Amino acid sequence: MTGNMKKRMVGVIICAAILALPGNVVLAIEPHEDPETATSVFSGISLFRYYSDSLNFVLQKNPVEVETRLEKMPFVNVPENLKESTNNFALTAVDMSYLVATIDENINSLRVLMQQFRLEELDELIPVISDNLSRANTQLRSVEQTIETIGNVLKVSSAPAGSDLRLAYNELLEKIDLIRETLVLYQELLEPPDITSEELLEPTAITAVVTPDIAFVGDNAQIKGILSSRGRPLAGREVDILLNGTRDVTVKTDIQGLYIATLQVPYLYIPEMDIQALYYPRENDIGRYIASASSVVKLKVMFYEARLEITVEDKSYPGLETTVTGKFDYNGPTPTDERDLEIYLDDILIAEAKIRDEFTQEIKLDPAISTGKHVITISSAAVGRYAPVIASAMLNVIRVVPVLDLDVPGLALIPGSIGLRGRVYSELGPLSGTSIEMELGNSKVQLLSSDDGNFDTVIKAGPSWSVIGSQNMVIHITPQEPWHAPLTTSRTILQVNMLNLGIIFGVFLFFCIFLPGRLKGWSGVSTRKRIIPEIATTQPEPVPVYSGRVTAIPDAQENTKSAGELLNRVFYWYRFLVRFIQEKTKELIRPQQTLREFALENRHVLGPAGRYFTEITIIGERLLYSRHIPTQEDVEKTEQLSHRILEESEPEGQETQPAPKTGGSGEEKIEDEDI
Amino acid sequence: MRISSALLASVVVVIVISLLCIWFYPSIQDFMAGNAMWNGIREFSAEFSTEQIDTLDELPESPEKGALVIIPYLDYAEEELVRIKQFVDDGGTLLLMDDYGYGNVVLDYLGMRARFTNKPLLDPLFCYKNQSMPRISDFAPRVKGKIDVIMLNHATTIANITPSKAIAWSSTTSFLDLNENGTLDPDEPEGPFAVAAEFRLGKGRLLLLSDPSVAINTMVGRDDNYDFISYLINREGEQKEIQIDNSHLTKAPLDVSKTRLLDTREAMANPYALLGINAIIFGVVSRYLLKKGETIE
Repeated sequence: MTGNMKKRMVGVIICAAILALPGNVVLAIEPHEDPETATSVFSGISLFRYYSDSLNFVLQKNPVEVETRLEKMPFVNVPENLKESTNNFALTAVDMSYLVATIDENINSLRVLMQQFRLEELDELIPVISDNLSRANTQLRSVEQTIETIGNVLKVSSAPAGSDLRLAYNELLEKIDLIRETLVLYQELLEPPDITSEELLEPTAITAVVTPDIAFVGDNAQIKGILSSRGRPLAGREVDILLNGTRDVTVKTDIQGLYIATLQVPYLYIPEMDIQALYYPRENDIGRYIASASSVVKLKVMFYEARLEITVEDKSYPGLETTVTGKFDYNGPTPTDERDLEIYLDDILIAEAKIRDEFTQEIKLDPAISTGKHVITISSAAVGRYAPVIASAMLNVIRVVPVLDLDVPGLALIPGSIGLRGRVYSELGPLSGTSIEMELGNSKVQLLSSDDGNFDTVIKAGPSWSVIGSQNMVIHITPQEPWHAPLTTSRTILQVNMLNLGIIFGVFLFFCIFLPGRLKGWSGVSTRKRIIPEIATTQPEPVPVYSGRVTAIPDAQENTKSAGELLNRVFYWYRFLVRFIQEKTKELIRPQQTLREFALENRHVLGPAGRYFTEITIIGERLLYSRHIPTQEDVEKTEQLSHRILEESEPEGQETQPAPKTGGSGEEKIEDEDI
Repeated sequence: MRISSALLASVVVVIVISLLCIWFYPSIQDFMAGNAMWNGIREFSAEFSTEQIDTLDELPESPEKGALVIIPYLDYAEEELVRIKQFVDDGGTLLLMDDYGYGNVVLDYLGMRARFTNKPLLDPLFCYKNQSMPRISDFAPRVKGKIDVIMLNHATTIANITPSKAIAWSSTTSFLDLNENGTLDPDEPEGPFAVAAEFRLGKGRLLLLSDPSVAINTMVGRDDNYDFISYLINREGEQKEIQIDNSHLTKAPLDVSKTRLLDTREAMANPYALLGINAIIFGVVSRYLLKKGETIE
């Protein structure tokens, strides 16, 4: 293998190695695994613990948390044969948790009623609690059975006693037992009070009449009635007036058991209210009387309602004012006074005003407000008999995208400067003082627009790799006003790179003119103009005659001319011999066939004299391709060899082909391109 | 034909075939956009129309509408961190998805207290198939209703963040496997842990997700993973132009070769390179022909 070949191989291998160089790998932990082929591993321990923790919240009477935890059960990893059980557990446990919480609330109410000797209400409440307890116990048993089913599937019973699975399972069962104990405790609390028998207590009765039974908010209503026991009035007893179940006022009965209370209808703006009078034994009455409550009396409440219609602009802009208009529509008399108005933007109070029936309010939006939909809420507080009003509308906040009018030259010569001018504006007017940044390749220019949004600049386009082609000029517009959006746009400029064109033209010339000559030089081929031997038209050089005169030294031109003549004479003989051979072989010199190749292939026709033809060929090549200058000796040798060839190749009894007369006027003309 | 010529021709053929293989054979490396196998991100790239970048120098100058997804499995140079910070400061959205990589290097440079714990998050109950693939169903109120559950794959957790910054948490049955033995030990912390968080940083946003695997082909379509990524990136209702940083992913030799082949192609695409190549070919061929024409055996 040659040295060049080795170098090439090494180069190729290095290239391949560079392409195949690996990167660094650093991770010690697997970043992921294929979910399709991942191994399924189920943890019963985790399931039992999660259930156990969820039941803790049942005991804490926090059903919301129980529901929150168990509604995620669809996302747990459990075997298919357990999915039904886990779903059952979730459903029953959530129901049970709500029941337990309700029972707990009812038990608290029960305690209050018992303390107040409100036996009638107790009689109503106890069956409700009992029913809930019964349902809770049923669901608890269902939960327990589900757990046992799961335990069987997971073969908890065959797990070692101290194993985590067994411990978790047992812990869960303990939680169920705790809930059961709680329910038992509740059941015990339902037992009737053992204070005294109902027969020993005096029943009471209380009436309630509301006048008027229709009233405006803020008006007064009178509630009166009589408290009695077995027909006898109870004087000096406190009676609670309950408004919607809540004590509002307490009054005392007079000597006739009559009580009168004045109640101001609260500004609740609801159509009716429940009014009830309640007596329960206090101090000395405890142990003597049973509590009593009047029947519920409905008080119809009147007030004026209004509808508020608000209108906002289609588009609003950060940092600018937007107009909100509104109008109250009353179904009755309009208020004489102004109403307070509060305007909220996304639940944040941004404006207050006092208005009458109609209003127009300018609201300045925060410059930093995000674009998109925002909720405008307007509320007007209640005024006397006028109910509060609230209405909302969607505010569409946008930032206006600027419009750029830019004059870009159709053709730009680079390297050089490109003039650019234009205007930036939007539907809200021209953008003044806006930052405009333009990038063209590696060139960048930054400027500010004038007050009317105009700008005028130049951008320098430096050298680049391109020759002719279009290039994108990227323009960033950053408005200073918050209501304008930044804009990034681009324009295409056709560029002609004069520098590169010049270089390429130069390289082209180099290829066409200089490089071929150099390449021939490198490859050892003479680039000198080949000396084409001319057909001898001059007389052969005469034999020098002795002369006593001094011979002048011929100058260089004469030497060159003489060399040319000698060369012609040599090749005259060569061409003669070639034709001589071709007559015998009927073959021409092939294209690209060297003289030596021709001699080797055809000398056999000359017989032993063929070697002389080879010698003549070598003389010819030497003269053609080396710096050797033809001499008289070359000519003479060529002539001698030629004569020998002619003599030796002549068959006996045949006339010798007449030898050519070099330089003679009647010589044959041989085409130059034969050589 | 001489032996040396035959050898050269063979080597050239082998190289051409190798280059064609490199060009057309798909990548099988993790998180590669060209990888259509289970561990690539081809689907993610197609769904989100992402652009792969091989250097952070390709980040846009005006990143307000841009989102950069980083999976930092290789360390960062100072100038790269500067570039990332500049991107966020200028209004870009950075989604940093890490589990066991160099995410903390980025967070440290950005001046954040939050850190990836770089320890496996395991959840034996709320998971898909096994505890290494936890399912996340606890989300911040702003996310609830939009996302029900997402699925992670060999994830970690995010520490040192306030609850208001967290977006998603693992379940109460999850734990951090500090000693990586696959079981919950007494000294190992139990869930919930934050697995996604959001911060305002400069003019931009920083989003942390403690598992980049949500984006791989076999994960992005599971549960609400796609919607969650979409929510994170396009949170402000604006479709972002997403770029994925390929320069900090571990690469197989095939990927490196692909990258270099692309680089080479790009380098050869400019006029001067083409001119040079043509000149070399012209010179070599001319010399060869001229030499042959003048040789006499």
